[in-house]
Amino acid sequence: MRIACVAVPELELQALVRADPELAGRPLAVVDGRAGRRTQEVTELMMATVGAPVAVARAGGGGGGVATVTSVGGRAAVPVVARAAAPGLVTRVRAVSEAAYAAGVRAGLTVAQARAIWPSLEVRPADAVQIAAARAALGDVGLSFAPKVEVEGAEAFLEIGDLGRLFQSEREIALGLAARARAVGLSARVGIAASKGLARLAAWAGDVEDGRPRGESLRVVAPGQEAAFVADLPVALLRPSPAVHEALERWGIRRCRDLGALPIKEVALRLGNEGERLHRLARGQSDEPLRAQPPEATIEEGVSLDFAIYELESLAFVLRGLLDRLLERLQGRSLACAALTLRLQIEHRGHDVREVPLAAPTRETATLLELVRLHVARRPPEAGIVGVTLVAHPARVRGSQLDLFCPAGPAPDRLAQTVARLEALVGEGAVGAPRPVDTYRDEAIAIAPYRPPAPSPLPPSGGETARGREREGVAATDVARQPLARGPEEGCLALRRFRPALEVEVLMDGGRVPRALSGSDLSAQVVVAAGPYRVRGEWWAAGGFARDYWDVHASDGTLYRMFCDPAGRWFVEGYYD
Amino acid sequence: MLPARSPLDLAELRTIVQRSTRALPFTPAQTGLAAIDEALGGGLPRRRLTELVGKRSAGRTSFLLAVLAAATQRGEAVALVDVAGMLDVRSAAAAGLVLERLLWVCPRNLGPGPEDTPPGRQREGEWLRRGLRAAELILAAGGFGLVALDTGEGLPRVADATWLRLARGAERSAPPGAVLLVASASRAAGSFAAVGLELERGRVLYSRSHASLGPDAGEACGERRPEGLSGSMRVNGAPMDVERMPRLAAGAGARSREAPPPLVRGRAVSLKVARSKLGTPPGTVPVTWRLR
Repeated sequence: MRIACVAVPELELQALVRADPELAGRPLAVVDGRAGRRTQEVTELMMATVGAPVAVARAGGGGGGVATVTSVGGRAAVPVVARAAAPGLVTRVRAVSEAAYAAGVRAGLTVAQARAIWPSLEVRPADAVQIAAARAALGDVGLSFAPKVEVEGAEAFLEIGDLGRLFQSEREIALGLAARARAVGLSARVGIAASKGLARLAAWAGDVEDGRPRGESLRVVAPGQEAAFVADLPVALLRPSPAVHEALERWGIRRCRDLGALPIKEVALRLGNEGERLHRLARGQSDEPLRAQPPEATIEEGVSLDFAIYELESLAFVLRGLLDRLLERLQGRSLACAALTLRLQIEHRGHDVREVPLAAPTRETATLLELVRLHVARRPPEAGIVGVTLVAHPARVRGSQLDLFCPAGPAPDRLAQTVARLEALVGEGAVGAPRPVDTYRDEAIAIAPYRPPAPSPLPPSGGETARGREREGVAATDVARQPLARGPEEGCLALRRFRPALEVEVLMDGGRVPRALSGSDLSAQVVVAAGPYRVRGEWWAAGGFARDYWDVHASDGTLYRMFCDPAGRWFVEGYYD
Repeated sequence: MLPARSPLDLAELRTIVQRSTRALPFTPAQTGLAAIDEALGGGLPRRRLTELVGKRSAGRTSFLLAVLAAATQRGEAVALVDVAGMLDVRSAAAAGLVLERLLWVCPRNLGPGPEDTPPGRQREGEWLRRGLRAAELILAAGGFGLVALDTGEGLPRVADATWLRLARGAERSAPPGAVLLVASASRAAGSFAAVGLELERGRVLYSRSHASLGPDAGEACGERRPEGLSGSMRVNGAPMDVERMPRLAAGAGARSREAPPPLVRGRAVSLKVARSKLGTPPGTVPVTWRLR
């Protein structure tokens, strides 16, 4: 068995950079999510009143307290360092970027200490939604190569034993995994070895500075070379628990070689099961099983916003980034978005969840963005948006074979986009495929979503005319040999409706037959009247109706269809046209 | 084995393909009525704007539905931008229109509400503006074999630029090319229409079916015969042929839903090819629309 490990160093930090690529290369520190927000609020408060003690009532946590500005940095516009008097306000850095690390900022420092080192340090709270999305994206990297994938923390493990037919070497697989991770916005280290534990070691080994992995790395441990590979690695890379690590330090065990040289029974006796496991690993042996997880049914990408969004254009900007990341993950797994759910976190009002219907699975950002934008524009949220999450329901892309003898219909994704635009233009419920309703009210009409069936083969060209064939380039002699079939000379007389029906005044002849009609849009004498034909319906319900229909030939040459309701009111329903 | 480099570079190849594509003939869209197709030289021209003009009861809606039905029966996707909301779905089905293939866009608000009141001139103009924009969007989407725009009864002034955009939209439609058919009560598209069709009213056909209904048919279906009417007459210049007039018994028959077919059975009209930029010779075709 061959296992690949794709490890993402500083996942929290990379999740932030992935969501906001402008942060790449800048000095950045990630702090605890809630504490980070408190720190930001305190800092804003400080900037308003530099130099003065500020009561931190809105900061919450720790029962409030008094924070004082300890350094100003020359101008009020420069972020200041707040020293919190209350314990709840002390936040610590969890991860730092390369630039911040180079400047001396380390994980574990308080925000105040970190900013004292680098005043312009970007401090961002860890976003649980973004971290979860980054972790899921890591799983998608594995799923784009193999069906059996396990995601554990910031690492993804996958079995690659069957990929030999697709890749010339395991190094190519490692290169492909790293490239795929880059495509979804993650910088990953890849290790390939005979077992899960060794693959993890291969991923994290090398390019380490002060115990901090630097950038990407690729390492393939050839079969049979496991013990030699592990021997020189530091014991800390085996991730012992603090107690065991302290014991090993006390014994003077620094390298795996030293640990592997110890008798396993003695190690197990003193360090328990963990010691035995570490010992085996230090000798290049690992039987840690791969616990493959089923792929998630949906793919989510989300972002929490620092400030509420009230405008559609600003939201579209956020949505584009989310969609790009979402579709990149789908593309890696050869999937497309079959349905989209938009979850908006509304200021003070909970969530606004919307389903965006799609005519066909698609991976086009522009199409999806337009559909979501139109959907939101049609019914804007009632308050500012402070969080956006997009959930894609994936589906396989099925290529359709076009028929040479069938007319190609509209492309499903463009059609969906067009229908959405039309609905935005003319209103919802006024676009679609009409269909009759099972009722006695003839004017009733229902609108179904427009999904034209697959084109059917064209009929034989019997109904074509000679001139039409000449246009197609068919020789006149060929036409002459074929009998020219003629279509019907008659068509179907249609009723053209007024919506709503026009109310008119009707002059009756002896109280029985219409003689003249007059309304806002018409005024004519009746030449011929036929009727009445009574139509009744829904008598079993409160909205029952009864109408006496008449067909009249008016003096203006129009053939009207009109009816009289039980209240004696007359309406022109339409005319035969 | 393929050569390492083709003697044709990409730009040249693109030019050749574009030139050959332009030269491809576009099969006219048949209307389903052989006589009209013959007069139009095979059918309605694709990638062109065709204007259909007709007064009330001249058969404008019947012609529109017939063309739409023929297109859907060929398997094409079609669109009807119905500014006035005039579509009678039962008539459409009777005409043979495959409703699943019809994209119906009705700029008029059909639901209950303040807009559901008798329309004013300004509101009609807004509906028409939306309808024109909707037709543009549909043409731009591509894949539709026929895009019909029914402008309704009154036609507020439409800027020439709008018709130009529509005509250009039809020209740019992807193969096999869309037919853009604009139906209105009076001429609207002007010189932007490649073909102009005009419908003129003819005689009205009445049913003979009352006799076959039995001696009580007159009790069931009343009919008023104007005084002095005999055989045929002219109404507003249009000849009207009354084939049979049962005795007057209006109001006697309150029939159930299974009512006899209306007395109006059809109407004869004439379709005139009034103008054409495609070389189609002017001509008039008699057509009979019958109730089904």
